[in-house]
Amino acid sequence: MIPPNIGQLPPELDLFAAIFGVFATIFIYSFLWKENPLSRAVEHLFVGLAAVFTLAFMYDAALSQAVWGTNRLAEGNFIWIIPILLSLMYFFFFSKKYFFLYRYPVSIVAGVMAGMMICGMIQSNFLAQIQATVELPLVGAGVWEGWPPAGLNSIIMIIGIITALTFFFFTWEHTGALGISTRIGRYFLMATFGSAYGGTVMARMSLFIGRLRFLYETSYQDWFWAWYLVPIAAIIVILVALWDRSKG
Amino acid sequence: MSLVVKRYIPLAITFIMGFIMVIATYFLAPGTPARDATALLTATVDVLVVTAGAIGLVALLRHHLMNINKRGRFWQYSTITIIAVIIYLIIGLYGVATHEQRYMYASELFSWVYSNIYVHMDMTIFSLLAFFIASAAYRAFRLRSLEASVLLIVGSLMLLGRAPIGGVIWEGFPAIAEWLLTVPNAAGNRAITIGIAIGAISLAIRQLLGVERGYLGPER
Repeated sequence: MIPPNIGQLPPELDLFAAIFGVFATIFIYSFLWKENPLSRAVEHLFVGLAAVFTLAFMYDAALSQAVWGTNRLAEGNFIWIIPILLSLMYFFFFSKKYFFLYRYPVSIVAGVMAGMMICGMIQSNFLAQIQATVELPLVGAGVWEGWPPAGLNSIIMIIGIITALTFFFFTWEHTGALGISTRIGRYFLMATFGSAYGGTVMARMSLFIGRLRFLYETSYQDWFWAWYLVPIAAIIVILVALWDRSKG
Repeated sequence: MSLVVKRYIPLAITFIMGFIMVIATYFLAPGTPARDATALLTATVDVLVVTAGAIGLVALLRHHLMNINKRGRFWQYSTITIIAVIIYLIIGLYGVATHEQRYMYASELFSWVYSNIYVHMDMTIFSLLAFFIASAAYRAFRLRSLEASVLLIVGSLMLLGRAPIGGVIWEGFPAIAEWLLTVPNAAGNRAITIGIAIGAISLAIRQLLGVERGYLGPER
């Protein structure tokens, strides 16, 4: 018999969520000042929740495959007991005597993944990239119009791809024509890393702005505003950090 | 136990599984029963992988329990991790037991903890990098060589082009950032992607042929 579900959660939980959000945010940012017991506590809480969250993600995916999917275990297809039993062999990881049994499910996963990787990489990361490079427009109507013209972009990309690839070519020493090519390739790679850096900074800054907006805008029934708690959380951080330092 | 059972059979399983996947992709037409049978193999892997995740959780718990037992460094905080794991796991399993869909995510309380507790910490911890990346940039972006200069100039132009203030200073910055992203960045990325593909394929072949055996764990 299925026990009753919790159903709709009480709205008061939103107040708790706001309070927790403020304290967690300030405690984690206190790490920028110095590592302290509060930042450590929130980090450990995060690790615990993240582990279960990741497991839940995989558990749900596995259940949908083996148990609840079409023509699976729940519909009487008992062959799906085999992968479940095989998966339990992973627990021999903790046994010294029967550790070798752990290798059986691992070898299945490693083999299937390696096979999929070979096919997937050849198709999407190798052939598709070469195809996209070959298809770059060099001639045709409108290719050399406007600024920068698409044809010029194509030439820059072709030079960039070939020279950057030669940078990873270690069969011969990078001297002479190959040396010039690898040097140009290095500039293209640096431009790529610069772009990646800019993108990363913007992504992290948007997360930071999101946290500031959370602190400023979150409210509960128009009488509680999250930012009321910011100074309280900051004072708690200072007191705990001083207490921690006094302990040595 | 003989070496055959301990090492050679797992190596043979790896080779056969990988070989089946490659053959199925390139030699079996989609929609045929043989090709569909290989789809069951990938579904089997999905089931197997979840227990690997459970092993990770057990290893995490074991590490923290041993830390508490030995009164190791920061052992008090290990209790927080263990309590968090146990409570969140109970919430998830209660959701599985009570919900018609039988999934952890289907549980309202599990989703609530994710949205209102986990996400707060996740976003804050990852936004910390915004501060550390600034100090890293100071070290990396000094004009010591032409390569470092390219990194500095492209990184700065990307920031100016992507941030709203860049467009306010000069309306050309967003267009330059867009061009940098779609032309030089795409060229470098494409070369890196091709390099990754070659490396991954060679690693996968080494694994199938039994040259690479690290995944089998230590010799016992």
